[in-house]
Amino acid sequence: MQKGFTYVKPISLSEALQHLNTNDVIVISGGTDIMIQLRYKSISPTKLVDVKDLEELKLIEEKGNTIYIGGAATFSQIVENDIIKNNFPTLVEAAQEVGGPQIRNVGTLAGNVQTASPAGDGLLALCALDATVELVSEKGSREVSIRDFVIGPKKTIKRHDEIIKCFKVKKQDWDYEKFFKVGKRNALAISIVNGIIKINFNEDETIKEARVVLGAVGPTPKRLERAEKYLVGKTCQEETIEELKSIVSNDISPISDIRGSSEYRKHIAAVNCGRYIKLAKGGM
Amino acid sequence: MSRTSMIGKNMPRIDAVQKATGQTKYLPDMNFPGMLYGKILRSTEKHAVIRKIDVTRARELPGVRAVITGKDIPELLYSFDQTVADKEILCKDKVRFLGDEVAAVAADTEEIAEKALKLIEVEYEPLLTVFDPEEALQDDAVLVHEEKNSNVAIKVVKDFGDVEKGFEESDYIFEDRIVTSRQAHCCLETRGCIAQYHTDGKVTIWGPTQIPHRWRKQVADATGIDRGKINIINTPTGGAFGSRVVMDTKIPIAVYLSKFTKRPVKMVNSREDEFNVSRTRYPFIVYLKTGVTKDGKILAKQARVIADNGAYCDEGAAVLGFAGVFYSVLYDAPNVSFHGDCIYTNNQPCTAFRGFGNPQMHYAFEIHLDRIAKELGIEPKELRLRNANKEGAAKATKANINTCTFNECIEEATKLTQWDKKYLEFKEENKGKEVKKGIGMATMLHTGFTTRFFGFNATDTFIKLSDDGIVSVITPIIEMGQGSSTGVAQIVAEALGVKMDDIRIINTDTDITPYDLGAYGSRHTVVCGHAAMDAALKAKEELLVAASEMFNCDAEELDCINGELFFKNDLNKPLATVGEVTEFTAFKLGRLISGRGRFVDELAPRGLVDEGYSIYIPTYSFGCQIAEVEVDTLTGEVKVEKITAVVDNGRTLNPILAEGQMEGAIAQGMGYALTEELKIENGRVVNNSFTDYKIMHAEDLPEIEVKFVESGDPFGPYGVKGIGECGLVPTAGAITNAVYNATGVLVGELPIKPEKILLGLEEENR
Repeated sequence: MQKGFTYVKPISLSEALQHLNTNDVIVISGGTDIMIQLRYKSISPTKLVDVKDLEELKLIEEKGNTIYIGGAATFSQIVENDIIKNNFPTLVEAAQEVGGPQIRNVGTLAGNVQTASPAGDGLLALCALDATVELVSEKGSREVSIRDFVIGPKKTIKRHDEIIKCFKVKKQDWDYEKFFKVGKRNALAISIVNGIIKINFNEDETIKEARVVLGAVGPTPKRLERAEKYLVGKTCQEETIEELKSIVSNDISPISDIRGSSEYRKHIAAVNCGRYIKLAKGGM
Repeated sequence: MSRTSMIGKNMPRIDAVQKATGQTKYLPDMNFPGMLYGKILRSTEKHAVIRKIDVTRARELPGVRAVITGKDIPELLYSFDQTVADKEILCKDKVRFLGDEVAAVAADTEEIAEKALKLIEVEYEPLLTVFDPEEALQDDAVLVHEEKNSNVAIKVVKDFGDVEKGFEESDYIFEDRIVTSRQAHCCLETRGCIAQYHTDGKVTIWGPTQIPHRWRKQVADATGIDRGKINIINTPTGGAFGSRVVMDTKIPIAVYLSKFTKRPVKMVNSREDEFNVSRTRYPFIVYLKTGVTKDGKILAKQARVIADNGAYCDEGAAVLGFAGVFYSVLYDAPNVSFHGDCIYTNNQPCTAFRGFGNPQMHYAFEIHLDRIAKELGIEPKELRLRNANKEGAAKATKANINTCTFNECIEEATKLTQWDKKYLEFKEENKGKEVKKGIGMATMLHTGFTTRFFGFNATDTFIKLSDDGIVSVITPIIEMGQGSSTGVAQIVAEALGVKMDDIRIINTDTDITPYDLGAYGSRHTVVCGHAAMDAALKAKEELLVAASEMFNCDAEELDCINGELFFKNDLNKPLATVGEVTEFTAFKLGRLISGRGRFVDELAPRGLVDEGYSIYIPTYSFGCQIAEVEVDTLTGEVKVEKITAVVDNGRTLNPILAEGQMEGAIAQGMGYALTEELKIENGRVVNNSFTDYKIMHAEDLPEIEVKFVESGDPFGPYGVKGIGECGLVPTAGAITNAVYNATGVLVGELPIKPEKILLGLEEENR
């Protein structure tokens, strides 16, 4: 039988950190994942520490060349925030596609990252932005690159005494960037495949730099470095696109599940990468 | 003042405020003093002999009040239709699907009951299994019910004319195999009940039900308790869609647990139970063979349906019945043959679901028809119009179509969507595009008022006016979210001439309400509306007589409109309110005012013996839906841009409620078309949550335009027909045909997922 748990709602981050003394204390914010895990008894905490109203964790601010996004910022907050809108359009696109409106109103970016779903939209966008995760505990703070932070489905390197304080993201400039999600139609709130393509062009229309990151094709969001390297120096023509598609489907090994087969995932990952590279050219 | 009709007006629902403010108490919210919680131990095997059940340890657990197995209850077999009774309420010797009921516990808390279940030890000896209904038909297949000589559970055969002759006369013959999915009802309120076995042997059951009076029979059949001792109180119902017609096995189990403990016992499904064991829409495999002339006239239609019955019989006969009748009547072919079988498997059983078997058959035949249209080079609308039904007796089936709006519905839908233009233009626009537009239609034929399947189809209603003019309507109308109690209130307000606010609907207790078959098959507003109208008119007669004594005039000179009495020749000057008249009647005349109403369907008793379809359906509803879609040919994703639905509803009682019914049904039809499929792999449900079983969300819905064709049915009160199911019936066919139109790919297997469309595109390109 499930033991009961206590619920606390600290009024400051330092008070919240004091509660995190054992590994069966769980930090909760929007609760859109935690509540389900409680319901299925896949977690059995002794204490829930609610941080959703801690202002220190909700700030979105610009300091020089870096933008700080508080861990407890909700998706709705992100979608409407001018700093994010001006700087990280793919994060806005991704946040818009998380769950339904009720989920977006309470679900947070840190929650999405800590849940570490291979299909997490917010997680994917942060990976494509090379974000840094700032973790705090009573012992101090540390910074980890998002790609090192998430190590597998539902697995991160966060210690039980830590809270994700914020994500630090360097401002960046791309000539073209696009988030896509297959499965967003027809109530498929969880991606079959999601991805982000970013391109910078040289003056002669050849590609100077590319970012190709895909979700739901492996245990964690995957940056396709071979595809990125291949694109450098190429123009967005048919040949390039065909080759890119074959690189993409070779370099991923998605699983088959109720949402889609491995073959289908490979196919749509490849055609979407091709499609948006093609559109990048038009978008110049 | 002029007479303002209540009929055809947007009236707010009478239950709206309490529901919107969260005050309505549903079954899970209800608790009684001393109440226990019941839980069921379910089979962990898909097909097995039970060797041993040991409940000793469970009985010893503190807080456990009763533990029962098949040995503790009478040896009875139960089914919705007792002629095919095959289900032990608690399995004694054998289990037939994963989740079959083996034992039950009543305890002080849910937690204790759950803990007790874990202490029950069951030894099984697994048997061979069969999950595919076509495999179950093979000679070497294991028998799900070993005492029967095959796995055929239910058979429905209807032949009209001579299909072989029709095929011989045809220029072309088309054949298809089409498969439909297992759709779950997904009511927001899960199934549940509270049962109280009283010390005098009477039984009260509280629960959300569509058919309270027939639940009495079901409980009696399942338990052997005298039906006269059973009282059903239907609680506010959080969705039904057919899932609350046939009672759940929990109900007799709760009755037994209450009998053993003498305390009320509550049992409520978890969401997982709801998906794992609570019965779904019958999945069909449909083999179609259709003979046509070169100009598209259908000469012969033949359908062979193999339905997955699951482990036990339920609504199979009615589901095949609905499938057969509308398939046979629509398009008025001279030769028709329908053979349907429900086949036992070791899967979860199936039950009634909005439209019974008609959505399955419409999907199959409407997409088959579009393939015929394409291959004959005839435009789909034109092909349908060439096979239009006409008023009067249908050619083969002799079905009596008293209002035929086949052509009107198609013409109206194609006009609203600019079909003729889009059907040609999309083809041009799509050239060279990755995302292609498509438009597709499906015709619809459904009942406007249930069937005469049960040999009875009537009800009564009682109306009483209190001394202050409050009108109580004692009616069996079931409110399950569709707004039918508001509809009945409107009919009473109109017929009696009183205000909506002064009407109370009394409809929740079988000891009080008149006998009735229940709310299913788009019947309830029609049958209860009729009886209510009759009762209201009788009460009005008494009211006007009393008023004539009050004003010393002739009753014929008076009328009552919207709560006030008038001289018919001076509708500007109210004489008195209804309350003033009822007070006068009580305290000056010494009597009260009431009315008994009756709806009689004299043909119904013949429905039991009717071999054909001449009187099976009292009245028909036609309709046409057109879907407009965009298909991403790189990914196979379908985006529905718009659904246009035209339906003959006889007459609109309440436009917002009628549109709401249609929109809800269309959303469920879209789910049926695109995403909804309860996946059972090797006997186990693999998507038993809303994370993996996807219904349409508000965000997923396209623009839906609903238009009613009002044929003014001679059967219904004020001309109305039922529309509870009509919205869902053609939707999957229309969407699939739109995808066919966009891509040339016709997906003959529901749901039409992106992967299937993509596979079709790849085959086309090959």
